Amino acid sequence: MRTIFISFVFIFSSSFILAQETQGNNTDKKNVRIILGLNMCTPNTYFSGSQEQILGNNFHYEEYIDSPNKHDSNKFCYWYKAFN
Amino acid sequence: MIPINFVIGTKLSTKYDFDLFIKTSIQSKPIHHMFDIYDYSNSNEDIGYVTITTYGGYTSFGISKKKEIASFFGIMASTGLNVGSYNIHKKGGVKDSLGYYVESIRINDSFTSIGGYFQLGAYFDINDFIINLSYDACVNARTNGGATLVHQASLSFEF
Repeated sequence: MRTIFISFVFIFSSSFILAQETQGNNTDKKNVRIILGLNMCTPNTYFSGSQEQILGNNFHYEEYIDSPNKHDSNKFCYWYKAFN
Repeated sequence: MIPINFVIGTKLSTKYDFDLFIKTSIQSKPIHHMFDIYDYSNSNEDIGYVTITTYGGYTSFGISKKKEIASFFGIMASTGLNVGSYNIHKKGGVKDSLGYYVESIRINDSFTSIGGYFQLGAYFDINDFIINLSYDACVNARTNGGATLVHQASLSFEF
């Protein structure tokens, strides 16, 4: 997060100075433009849902539990991010 | 390590006060998430874990609007729809009766995600070469269930 913030401040400052110095009187703007860029995802990607929603419908929780007392089809588990 | 997506697209100016665009974002590398599994029906017991590795990308269709503050600088806002396609690999295990993890989860899967985003940022116009700096928040629903919230910093060039 800190790296993104520092990068943003640096790019913002240098772009501002560059744009201010070089802006011409070009009013003939293009109608169609090409976009190239980068997205920097933050590490926080949140998932929500039941174990079947997150693992997919082909995953059956019970198949992977050895302990007999955990064979309960009514179990409803949530999963959340531990780290990225 | 921060995951980076590559973005390529095109933008169309309209005679109205906004622009239309389509752009595709592709992950540069897989994203790994590790989850603990808790059984909320049984004293919130930690019963296992799973590692989810996702690889794919999405396409955004949107409109954007700019407000010029100076001839070379302004702010912009954008909103639209995302449609994504991903491959996913799940690996993990649950605890056995003695409390040891049993590596028993191995699933390859794919899914499509559909959602929306909102973007807010600034632009710099350098002789009709435009630099955009923005922050995006995306909420996506997955066709195989579940939902994700992603927020990301974005740097793009228009020429």
